[in-house]
Amino acid sequence: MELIFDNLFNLELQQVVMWIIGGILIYLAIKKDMEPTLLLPIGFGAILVNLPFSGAVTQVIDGVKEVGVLDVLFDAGIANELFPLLLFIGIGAMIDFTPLLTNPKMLFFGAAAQFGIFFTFSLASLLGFDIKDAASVAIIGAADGPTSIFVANYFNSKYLGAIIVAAYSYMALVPIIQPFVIRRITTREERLIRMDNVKSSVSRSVKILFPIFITIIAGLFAPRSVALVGFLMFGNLIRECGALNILSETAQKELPNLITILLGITVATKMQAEYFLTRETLMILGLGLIAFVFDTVGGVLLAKIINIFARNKVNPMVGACGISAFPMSARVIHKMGLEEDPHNFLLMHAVGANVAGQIASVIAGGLIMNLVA
Amino acid sequence: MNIEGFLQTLPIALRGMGGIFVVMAIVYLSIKLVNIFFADNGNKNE
Repeated sequence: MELIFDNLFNLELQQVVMWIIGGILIYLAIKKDMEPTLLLPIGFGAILVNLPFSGAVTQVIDGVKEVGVLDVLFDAGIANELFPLLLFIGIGAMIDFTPLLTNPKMLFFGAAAQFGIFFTFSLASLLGFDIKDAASVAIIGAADGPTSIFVANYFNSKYLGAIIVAAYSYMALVPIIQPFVIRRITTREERLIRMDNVKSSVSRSVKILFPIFITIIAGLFAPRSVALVGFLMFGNLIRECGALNILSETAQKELPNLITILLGITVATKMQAEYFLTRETLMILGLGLIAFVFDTVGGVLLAKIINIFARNKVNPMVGACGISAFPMSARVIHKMGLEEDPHNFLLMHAVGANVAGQIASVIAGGLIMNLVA
Repeated sequence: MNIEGFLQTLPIALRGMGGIFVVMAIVYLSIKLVNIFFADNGNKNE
């Protein structure tokens, strides 16, 4: 009997706290529908890895190393950046870039809305994070889970667990964060601005050439982003070529589903109490929120600056869609536009800025890797 | 407060922000060019 109950005495209070955190993540995923595909596996994983001498993670017991399956998965899929890259094929296959191709000016909102990354980078450094950890934390502002994982892992950040939880949590909170920030930095008159309709079709050749061109440009100017951009655009090429419909369907559904199952639970290896329950985790959660706020501010401010000079005004709310949280941000802004004026349809513009944000966030990830490495 | 670290990040942040705008500008020009050379002449991909 003693053998059976022995492990109970190895339980530590910190591990119980991690069960509670895991439970909260599971609750948020199920009850609040907050990024359930990731937060549920992460929450369950947080419980799994915080059991005393959990066999799911590598342990040294009586001097003998027993390799845990989650560590095997981590080495096979995250340490070598395979899972986020495969996920990007799926994301690329899901995105229709037509709204951006018909109105490429939206690209600049994608650029401006990466401001939160670089603001947070400097702020994190000011707060004492070393430069590589500051870059890893700042990339939460990419508002893109796979990019956050890719960059934080590239810098071998010990805060990977906290960074991923923050990234996915704030992505789920975009419908709360963005309207709150936008209402504070725009006037009602600005939010009522109507934008001209743009033509809604582009040729098939353009759609096929676009992913190839983007890959070449990213490779030439931000070479470290080329794996991310390349896989994203490869997925999009499969979608748009018209010759690989079965592969396109698989890339849009089965592939990301499979990877997501493994990714979420594997990330939990970095949620062991000794790594997660630290003062830095709280700071990372705060910095992540700041990153999202200043991303939104960056996009809105660019629109306001353009409006000083341009004849055709831009609704500043569309600028906020330049963050990468796709398609949630576009939906939020479209809804906000309709709340202000039931006849103001911003969806196409918002989606254009939002997919531009998807590209810009990946480029930002590559640039920060280039500049900090 | 790590003022020295903060100052070290400023040029990186500026180059990063500038870099994104440059890359996006190149992408913008590419899309414009591709749209000109491969204009939609009723050959829509729907």
